[in-house]
This record gives sequence, structure tokens and C-alpha cells, in this order.
Amino acid sequence: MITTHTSELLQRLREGGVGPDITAWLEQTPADQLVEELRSLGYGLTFQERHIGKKWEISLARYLGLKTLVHRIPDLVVSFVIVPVYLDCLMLSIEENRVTGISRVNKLTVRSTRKPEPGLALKSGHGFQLDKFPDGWEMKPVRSRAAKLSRVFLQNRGWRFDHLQHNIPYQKSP
Amino acid sequence: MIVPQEDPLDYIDMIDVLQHGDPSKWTFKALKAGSGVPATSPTASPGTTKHYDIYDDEFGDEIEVHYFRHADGTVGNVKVKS
Repeated sequence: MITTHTSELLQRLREGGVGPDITAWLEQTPADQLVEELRSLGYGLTFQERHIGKKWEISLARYLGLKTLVHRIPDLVVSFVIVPVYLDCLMLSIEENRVTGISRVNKLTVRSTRKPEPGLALKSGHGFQLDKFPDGWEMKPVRSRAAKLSRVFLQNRGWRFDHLQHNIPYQKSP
Repeated sequence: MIVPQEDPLDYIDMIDVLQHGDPSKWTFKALKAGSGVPATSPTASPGTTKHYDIYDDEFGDEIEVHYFRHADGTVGNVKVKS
């Protein structure tokens, strides 16, 4: 049953420690079926998707919410900025309809940036990443880290800006 | 005839972009010892080689990009080891 294995996969991606039983199941499971299963389990938001060569990348989230960031400048002012945050995110990499990588992070915070070029600062929360390397499967923790990425780069990577246009108005396409 | 070679950095997974930044801003350092050897997996197509390239990511951390290169110049299973 795909449901049982999918639930177990999600649980282990939350805690770490995916074993050979799960990786063997992943190697045999059609990825399009898994993606549909994940959608039915609540991962209904697609925030990134692209096809390149034989590869399909798709990133899903359960929710999109808002978070208040506090900026403190010593002895001066405190400002509050409300930013979008994707909660419970899965990022899948697929080749020839088989998963070659799946990551789960608890959140992905999105902030607009203007310099050095217009784009987004994407700060990932904590989680785990499972990848099929040429020499076998490996799992590692995902670090909380912010990457500044240009709008052009993100468009080429299939980033879905449509979810964000009400939260980051000046990111709208001209 | 020269076969066009795909750039493995075009295939970096989204999670690794979030962890290591824009791949176009990574700095190539070296080929790891053993890079370029024939792939021995029974599922590997003839002429496929395994590659291990060493880079510094956008944050200055050393990482390895592991991938297969097929005889037609395409790449597959591009993964980042850190």
C-alpha cells in the first residue's frame, strides 16, 4: 500500500533515519503516483516546479501563512515586517519517474530583496534531505540558512511567484 | 564529432540551491580523485562515467557535486555532498 509507505517516509523525513526498506520502496514507486499521494495527504501547494532533460523537480507545501519578522537597529528603532512562510515543505527530484531525492523542511520563509538584484531571500527551516547518489542513498540534516536568489534565476527554476503577489506586491511581473 | 556536454550545475536540486546558493556563484576547485571512472552499475548505459567535482559554494563552504555523465553528453543523478 502506497499510503502506508508514504506516511512512514514522511515520518522518517521529519525525524531522520530513513532505512533501506524505504529507499527500496522509493526506487520501485512511480514518482507521479507518489506526488499524487502527497497531494492527497495535504501537500496541496506547489511553490516550485520545472522539467529539465529527464529531470522533474517539484516542491510542495501544506500551508502558506504569514510571519512577523522583527528588525532591531541598536539604540534606534524596531520595525516589523510581515513576510510569507511556507509550512511543512517537501522538495522532490525525479528522473525517469523515480525519486532521486526528497527533502522535508518545517518552513521556508520568503522575503523580498532589491540588492544586488531584485529577487527573494529564501530561508529554510530545519529538516532532513534524502538523496540517491551514484554510489547509493544518503540522508543528511538540512540547516537553517538563507539564500538570496535573483528573480530571473528563480523564474528559470520554476518558482511560483503567483502565491506571493499579494504579500510582496512589488514582485509582480511588469 | 564533438558531443555537447550538459552542465551539471543546471541540474542542482532546489534544496541544494537553498542550502548552498546560486550554483552560478559557486567556485570550481578541482576534480576529486577517482572522478571520471566508468559507472559499474548494471543499470548504467554503456559509456556512462561517474564524476565528483569539488566547489566552494556561495557561502564559502567546500562541497562536492556527484553525477553521472552519459555517452551522449547528458548528465544524471546530480547530487551535492557537503
